[in-house]
Amino acid sequence: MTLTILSSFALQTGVDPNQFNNYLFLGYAVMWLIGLIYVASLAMRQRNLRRDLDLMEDILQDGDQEAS
Amino acid sequence: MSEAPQPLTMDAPSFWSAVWIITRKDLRIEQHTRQTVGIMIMFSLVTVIMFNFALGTNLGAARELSTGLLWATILLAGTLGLNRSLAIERENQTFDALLIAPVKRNAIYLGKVFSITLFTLLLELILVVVFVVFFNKPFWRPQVLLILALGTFGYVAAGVLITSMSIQTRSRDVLLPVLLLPLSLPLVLPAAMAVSAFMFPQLPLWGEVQSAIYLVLLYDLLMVTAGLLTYHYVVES
Amino acid sequence: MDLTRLNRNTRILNIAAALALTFAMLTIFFYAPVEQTMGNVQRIFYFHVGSAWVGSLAFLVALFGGVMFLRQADRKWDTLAVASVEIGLVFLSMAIVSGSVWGKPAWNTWWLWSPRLTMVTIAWLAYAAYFMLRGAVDDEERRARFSAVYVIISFLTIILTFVSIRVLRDIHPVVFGGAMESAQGASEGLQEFSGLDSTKMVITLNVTVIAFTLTFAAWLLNRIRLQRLTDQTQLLKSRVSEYLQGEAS
Repeated sequence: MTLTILSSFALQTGVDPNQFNNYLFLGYAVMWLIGLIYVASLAMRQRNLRRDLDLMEDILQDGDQEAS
Repeated sequence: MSEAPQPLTMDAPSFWSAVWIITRKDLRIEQHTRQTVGIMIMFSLVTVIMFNFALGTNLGAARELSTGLLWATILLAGTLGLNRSLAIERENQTFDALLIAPVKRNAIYLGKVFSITLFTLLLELILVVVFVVFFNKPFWRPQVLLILALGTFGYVAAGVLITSMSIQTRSRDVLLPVLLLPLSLPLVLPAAMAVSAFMFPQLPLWGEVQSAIYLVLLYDLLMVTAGLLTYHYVVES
Repeated sequence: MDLTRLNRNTRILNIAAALALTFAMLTIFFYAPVEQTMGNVQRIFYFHVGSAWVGSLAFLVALFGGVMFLRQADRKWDTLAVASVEIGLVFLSMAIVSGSVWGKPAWNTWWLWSPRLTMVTIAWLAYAAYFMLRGAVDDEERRARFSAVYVIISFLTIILTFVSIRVLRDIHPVVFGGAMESAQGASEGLQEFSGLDSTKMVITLNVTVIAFTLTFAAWLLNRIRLQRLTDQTQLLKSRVSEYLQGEAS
């Protein structure tokens, strides 16, 4: 919508500035998608590691408790 | 007055004699076992014939692509040769012996580069004959042979370094093409272009091919230097 | 950097990057002018260049990590290298895809073997292969050493590829014949269209590049922290397995 407004101020040279807007959308959508997938991957890996870490700390703690 | 008995010492060989010793050792082994070159030749023949069929029995299209096919075959067969040659060392544990010997690491590197280059060049001689027959193009020209030799040297220089790493991994053979082929691009591009220039009845002018040949030489120089500098990081155990 | 400082810095950068990216998006869509020849689709250019630039930066950082590791075998250099290559690969993928999506309306082709695109493809393959190599080596120290050597050779290759194609193209323009001449000319340099004539465009580009650099830094710290966690987990795993073996006997 904003683009339509903006483009109405563009020079009317007969070339429609909005003709390739689907490509514009596609491009940004894909770039954001790649970025977000990476961020999600980082978050997921971190969560899994934290979980493994907690689990192992529990095991070791039980061990220490048994020993004492 | 008798001198105290001298301890037995062996002078460490100089760099170039070490290189030569290693190259000669490889050549001698190959002479006796004929493992590496044989496989490379068979593989290449099969590949070329397969390419021919894949491109259709119409040789016209294949002819256009023949230079590219030649290099592709060399690259692929090269990975075989590299794997075989370096794996043999590991199998027989001769490699560990080499490492203990008073031989500089990069002498081993250079020695292997020379020996494997020679094996591959032998293969290429046969390939040239096959290609001349199948595609009817003047691959036999000495300039073409020279370009092939220069290109092979650079490829093997990078290859020995990379293969020394890949055979120490879990994936071994399979990993090598994945690692090495992307690295060979800046070599293949000018090399293929240079060879193509000689596929016409009329010989090209030096000015037309000089950039391509200089690029191949540059690749050779940089890869060999990188190999010499980093090889010992790859083989320390 | 100790863990608490790392956590705090990471959080700061995360927020900064998010804000900067939002600001950049606003700038791109509301501040930057409409480009004359291509219209609004040109706006892809800002993100495209931003990601390409930061992607290259990432690989330089990785090269630095690799060289430093060979000089002093400190784990932190390997961590820096693997984090940078991973992030660089992400940015590079973004750059390739955005370039392709932009190329279709601009030159009527999704792909083109121009010097830059060829170089970028090889770079992508080499750095993806980096992970194959790492995955195949079990020993930590060896993995780091091999990775360092491979990063150095890869970098060399990429520079050579670019030089190669640039040199060869000047001699043999016919090689790339079939693709549009304008595309060839256009694919060189940053000014891939009618030109960065407007100051507003330059400002927008700078804003985007800064936002991407902040994102790179944020992701880098996050990835480094992730690696620390991984290392810690590995350590604990061996302790736990020792303990469990003790229990069994």
